[in-house]
Amino acid sequence: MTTDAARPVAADLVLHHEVSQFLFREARLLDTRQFEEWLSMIAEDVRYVAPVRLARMPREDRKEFEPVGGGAHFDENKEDLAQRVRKVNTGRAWSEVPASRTRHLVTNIEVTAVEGDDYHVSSHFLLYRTRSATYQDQFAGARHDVLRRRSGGFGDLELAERTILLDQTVLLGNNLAVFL
Amino acid sequence: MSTRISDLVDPVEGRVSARIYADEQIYDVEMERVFGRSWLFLAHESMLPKRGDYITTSMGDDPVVVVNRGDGEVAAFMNQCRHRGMRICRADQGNARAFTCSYHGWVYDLQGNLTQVPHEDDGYLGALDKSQMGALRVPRIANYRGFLFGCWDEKAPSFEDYLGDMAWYFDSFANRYENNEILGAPNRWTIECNWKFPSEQFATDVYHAETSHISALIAQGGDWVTADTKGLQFSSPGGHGTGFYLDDAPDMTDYGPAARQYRAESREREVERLGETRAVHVRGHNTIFPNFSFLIGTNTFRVWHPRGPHQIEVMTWTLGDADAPDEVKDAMRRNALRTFSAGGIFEAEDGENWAEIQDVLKGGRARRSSFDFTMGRGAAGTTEGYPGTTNNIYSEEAGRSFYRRWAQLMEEDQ
Repeated sequence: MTTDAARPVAADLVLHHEVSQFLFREARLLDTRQFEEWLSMIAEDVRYVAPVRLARMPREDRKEFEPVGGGAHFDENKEDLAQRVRKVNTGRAWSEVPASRTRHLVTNIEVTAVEGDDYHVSSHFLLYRTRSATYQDQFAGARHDVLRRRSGGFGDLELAERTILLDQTVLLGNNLAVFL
Repeated sequence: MSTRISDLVDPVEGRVSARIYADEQIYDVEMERVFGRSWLFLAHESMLPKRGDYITTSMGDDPVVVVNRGDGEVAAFMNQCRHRGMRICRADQGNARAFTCSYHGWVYDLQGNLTQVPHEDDGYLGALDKSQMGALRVPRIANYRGFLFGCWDEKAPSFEDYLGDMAWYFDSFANRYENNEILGAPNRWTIECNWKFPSEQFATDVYHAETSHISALIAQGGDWVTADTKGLQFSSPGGHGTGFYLDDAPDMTDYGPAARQYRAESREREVERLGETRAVHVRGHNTIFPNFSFLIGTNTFRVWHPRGPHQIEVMTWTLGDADAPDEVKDAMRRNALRTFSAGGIFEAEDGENWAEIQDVLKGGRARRSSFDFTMGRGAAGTTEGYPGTTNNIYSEEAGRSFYRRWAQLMEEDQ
């Protein structure tokens, strides 16, 4: 995982713009429920993980997030994500019928490392979600992504890895039937 | 309370008033009479391997600390300082030598004894009897195959007596593997519903699955049961319940090839431990009254902690076979998370239903309605080879027993 202390690399403006546009497009596809399109942005070997967060005393605060292989809200591969999309597409996934109105706000984007065709990208997100008449929940957190270049074409990247660090320990919502 | 409980719950006719899910007064009474007298899940011993290891959890809506005392025993006490009621442990889990209240610095040891008080001499003038001021201790703790349950009531029956015939069914979960391991910290989330909805569902309700979970079943591409599939429901005078299929149980699990092979191999050992009937068939949904539930197969167990009449906090863990290869454990862990957790493709629809019902019960007329529990009424009996009272899987036998037990506790004034 990229540490929070990592300084942004001297990514040129074009790369920074390209990465940002990728994340904004992803947010738009999720919020307009174009999930098949969204899946096309995901690498075949993706790992999509949201470790459980715990309130810890200061001397144990390095254990705030569960390690890889520990408690998690998501620990999924491409097929798992595709299964979620198939589920929504049945039209009978009642936790999303009628669908949530979601807004993924993605900010604080930093390219923290460049390794060949892989770009390590740190960002913040706020997912606002409202359902039926008055239901609402919000999930905020950080994402540590690895975006991988597919070709030389501008914006032709794929999401190869995503670690989602949620701010809540007890999630304040009825479910997480949405993509973070 | 002006209304009598027997007017609200009629387990013989199969009727339950909606008020019991949405009434503040009833909630207050059930915290005292149901949660104050029942055995409540605290922790699994493998979560607390070393001296000073602790987790914070709840009994009913009261916060408690569960801690390894270092002498082979586990202590549980209220997470509340005896001075002004501040929490004495403010982390979800960790390791501690003592618990110091962050308000005035009172210090409690690993057994909850009050050991140090600032200004004991010049403030209290030596008059404070620390021995009488320990954290409010959970007087009874039972360790059942590593699962620790606590009870506030000194007069309550032993945990084994409390379980009764349910022990045979619980063993299908708790004793399936030679050594159990809990795979990771719990998932925790809130659902805007009364605690009885999930507890009742896991006791009695396989009925909802093919409607509620149709989308997940389709997405997984698995076959669900046919109309000919037979199954049983077990109900207990203690309010516990289970349901399971007698044919090959539909499997909502996809552990991958390595795990599938390991599980096929380990099946033989499971049969040896549990017998063919339990190893193969007793693999369904379960509630130990009042709010501890588990699913065999997807290996999740959970507590539905009440948070007022209209909200619960769910804590769920994954049970693993400690002797399985890491790859297999990981597959089991991931499978549990993606099916039954806040983000689980099955779990989401359950919370949706419970929360919507709770929302409907904001209506004054809705609260005066009653719910139907007549499925399979009058057809209870016994089944050779299965302890206790049984009925067909699509009955609400265990639901009626759940509410019979609930009403009994609510009416008994001890």
